[in-house]
Amino acid sequence: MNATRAHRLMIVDDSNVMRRKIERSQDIPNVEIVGTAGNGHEALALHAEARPTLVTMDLTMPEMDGIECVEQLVGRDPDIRILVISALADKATAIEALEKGASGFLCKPFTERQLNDALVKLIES
Amino acid sequence: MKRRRYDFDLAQLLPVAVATTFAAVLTVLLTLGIQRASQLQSASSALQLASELRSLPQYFGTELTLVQRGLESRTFVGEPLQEIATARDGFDKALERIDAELLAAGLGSTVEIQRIRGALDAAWARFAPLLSAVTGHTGAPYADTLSGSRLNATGRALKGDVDAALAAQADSVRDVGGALKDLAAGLQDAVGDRGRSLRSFLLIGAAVAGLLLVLMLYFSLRSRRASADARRAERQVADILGTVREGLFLLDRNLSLGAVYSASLPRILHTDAVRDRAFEDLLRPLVPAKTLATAMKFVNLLWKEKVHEDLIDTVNPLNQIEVQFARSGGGTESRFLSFAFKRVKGGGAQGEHLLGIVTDITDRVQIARELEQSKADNQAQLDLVMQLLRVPFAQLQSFVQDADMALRKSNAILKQPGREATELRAKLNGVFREVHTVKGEAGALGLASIAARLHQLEESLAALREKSQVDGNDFIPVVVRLDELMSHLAGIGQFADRLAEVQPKGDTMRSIVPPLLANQVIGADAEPPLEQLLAQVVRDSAAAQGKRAALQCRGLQDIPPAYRKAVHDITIHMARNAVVHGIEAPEGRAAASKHDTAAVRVSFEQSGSEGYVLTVEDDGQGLPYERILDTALRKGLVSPADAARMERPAVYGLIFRSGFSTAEQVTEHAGRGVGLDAVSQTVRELGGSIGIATAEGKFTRFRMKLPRAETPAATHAA
Amino acid sequence: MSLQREIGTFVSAVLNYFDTAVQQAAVVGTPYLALGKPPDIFDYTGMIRISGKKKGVVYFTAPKGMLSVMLMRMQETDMSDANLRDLVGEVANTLSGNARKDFGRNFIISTPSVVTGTSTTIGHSPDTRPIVVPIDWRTYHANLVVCLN
Repeated sequence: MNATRAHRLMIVDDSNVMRRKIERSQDIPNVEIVGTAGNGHEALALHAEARPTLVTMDLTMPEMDGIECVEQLVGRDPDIRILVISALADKATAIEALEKGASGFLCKPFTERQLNDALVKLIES
Repeated sequence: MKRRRYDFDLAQLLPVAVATTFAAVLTVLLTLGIQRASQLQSASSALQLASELRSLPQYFGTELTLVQRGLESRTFVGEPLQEIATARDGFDKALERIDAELLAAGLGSTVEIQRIRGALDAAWARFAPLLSAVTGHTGAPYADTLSGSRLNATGRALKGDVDAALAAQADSVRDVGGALKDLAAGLQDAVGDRGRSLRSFLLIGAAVAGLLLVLMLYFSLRSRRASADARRAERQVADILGTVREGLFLLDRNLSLGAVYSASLPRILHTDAVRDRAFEDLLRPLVPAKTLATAMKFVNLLWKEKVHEDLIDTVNPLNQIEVQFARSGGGTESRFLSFAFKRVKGGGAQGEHLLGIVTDITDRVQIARELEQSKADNQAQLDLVMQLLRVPFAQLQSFVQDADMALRKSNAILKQPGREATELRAKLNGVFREVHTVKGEAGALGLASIAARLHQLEESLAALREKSQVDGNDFIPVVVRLDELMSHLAGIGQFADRLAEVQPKGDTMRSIVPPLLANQVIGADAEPPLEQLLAQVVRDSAAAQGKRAALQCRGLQDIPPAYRKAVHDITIHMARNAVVHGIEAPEGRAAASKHDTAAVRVSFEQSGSEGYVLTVEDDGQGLPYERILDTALRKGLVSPADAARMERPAVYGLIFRSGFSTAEQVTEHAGRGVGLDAVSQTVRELGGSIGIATAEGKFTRFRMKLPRAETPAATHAA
Repeated sequence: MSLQREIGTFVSAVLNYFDTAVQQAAVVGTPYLALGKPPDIFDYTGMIRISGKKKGVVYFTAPKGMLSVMLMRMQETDMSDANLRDLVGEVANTLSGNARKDFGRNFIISTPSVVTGTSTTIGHSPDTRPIVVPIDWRTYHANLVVCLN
């Protein structure tokens, strides 16, 4: 990816608190937050409009869960970089998300530093 | 990374490319050289032929002159004529050979040579027919007569041709000789050219070969140095693989191990069959099928370009796995292993690999667990301290003393010599009573840790009571638990002693930490607040049973000091029994149209001048007459014949018998009937009596008459 | 409850000795804790010392009369001091053997030793309460004492 071009980040999480926390925490200069979504459907709608290049994705959400959302987003844009952020109850589920095309996994709860490190690596991947 | 890898490849290829180019150049040079050499040879041959031919015109002249003279002297001329014919044919042949050689020497198309060659042909064509005419005559040239020989017609014709040929001979010498001379000169030049060019080719070839030699020498030195480096690196890698404690291995695209792995790998995995094995097969005996499937999915993720390997660390299912290995001496051994994986991008033919690292983390895990355990222990210790701090100091001290006494008494019971079944049963019951009493007190004081231990001991005893045959061996768990209890109590005692040192004088009723009891009355009264204890017992028991109960107390502050301990013990037991056995669950009460909160009443009153009455009652379901009788029969407390004759009050009295219990579930809170057993014994020891009034579905009331306390120090047997 | 298991092992060892060697069963009384004063010591005492994961002492102490009758049951006519010591040592030996078999490497068990006399004091560690298991045989009383921490 081109380092000089801004990366467009979409935050997908059903928890308001978590969305705001991610928003507040991320401080990578060339990453711009283009929107947040509370479930898979919203995320897909927002994707059509805001064209994000990076996504943070919760797994357990109402309406459409994270795994299906990952699959659909990757179907639309194979180059999209998705970081799954979830409380790790079951490694198999996380692995499934990665198989569907996510690029990385960050375990809740996380520190600001962990989030930013993960986003930098996500951009590299 | 990429650039470096490329450099490395070029360095490998360069000597080959250079050598190939040089070889091609040398081949061309040598081919040209060989061609030049053969041309040179042909040109030389042609030159030699031409040089040889130069003498021929002169020779023809000589032979023709010999023929002329012979004719004149009438001698034999056949020999010179034969020479001329041979030489002429030779000249023709030599010309053909020269042409062939010229062609071979690449001079066939050279203009100058062609011109000279044309001039030679023309000159020879003018002369050769004259020679042919000379040699064309047949028959003798002479006619012999008596006057001697004379020329005949043939001779005359021959003579004419010879003269003509001789006449042209000077021209021929000039023309043919000149042409041959020119040809020789031309060829001389050609030979010189060809020689020079051959020399140049050879010189260039030698130079190229020399250069190649130098380059090859350079490359070979370099590669020798490189291979020395490679050998050293190889040795270092072998050293590392031999000594590293982690199990290192490489997985190829098929997730198979290669021949490269660390020496510790077979040791960590407890198998020698490692080389060229599929990773899945290696893992299969170690982990459950589900983990194996997840693990293989995880490892495959690492091949995905898009996945960042650092960002999937946390989902590695092999991060910490517990595995069982067969021990050499039999049995199995549990170990903890941790697998990690890294991508390795090798160059060229080697392709990509995964570097696997497996570590035996058993020690680390165990230390962590011990730490966890000691944390839990500390927490338990802290909880205990908090429990103790909540108990008013005087109460704590008196509890420790009472409990110690009860445990010693239990031990004394065990120490008694009886071995017979009935004696053992008596011991069981005796210990049971002691333990149960202490348990009630511990519960009332909120000393959960010691109450739980007492409950365990009670459980052991209860289990023994259920057994049809008991012997001394069965008491081992009892004595071990007793031992443990004494240690625990000793710890609490030490704590209480320490507390005594920091306790402000005259304030022994105050707990250091406010108790959990609500409305705790902290007064100057030296007596334990029995009402509060009872309230807590009722509340705790009700909560544990899912029931609702309210306690009402009357006159408990007026208990004479001599009865305080006894009434304390009795009321705690009976209040608990009332909640557990007496009152119904809220549903039951609703069905009976009762208020869902049951009432438990405890009162202590003076009864005239002769003594006191202690009453404990509840508005519950009443004593179940049928069930009491059934239970007593089943437990063999009464014979069927006796049962048939028994009056109601006598049946109710059965609940005071040792070993009677109607409670379906045994809980820490109540329910073995031992409470009533102990109560009955205590009341009798005090010289009192117990009366029961009950109505099924309505209430149960215990009235305990106690005689007037004569001596303040009177106590019941603990 | 490993102490329970350990005591069980020692008790079975002693009972088994009576069953097999003496061919007349002994009876176990109710075990109790020796509080305040050390347990009763009889004329002959065979003991093993244990170190390792747990530390302490286990001994079988019996009066001379009991041991003499045991010897008689074993067809032995020589009731000498040496033979009585030998017998009580033999019981201690079975304690050691069973302990080795049941507890494995975590226990380091000394070779059995024998002391005589009722006034002998056996070094119990001060912060453990010895558990006394009375062993009754015929009219005699012996004690198995387990003192481990």
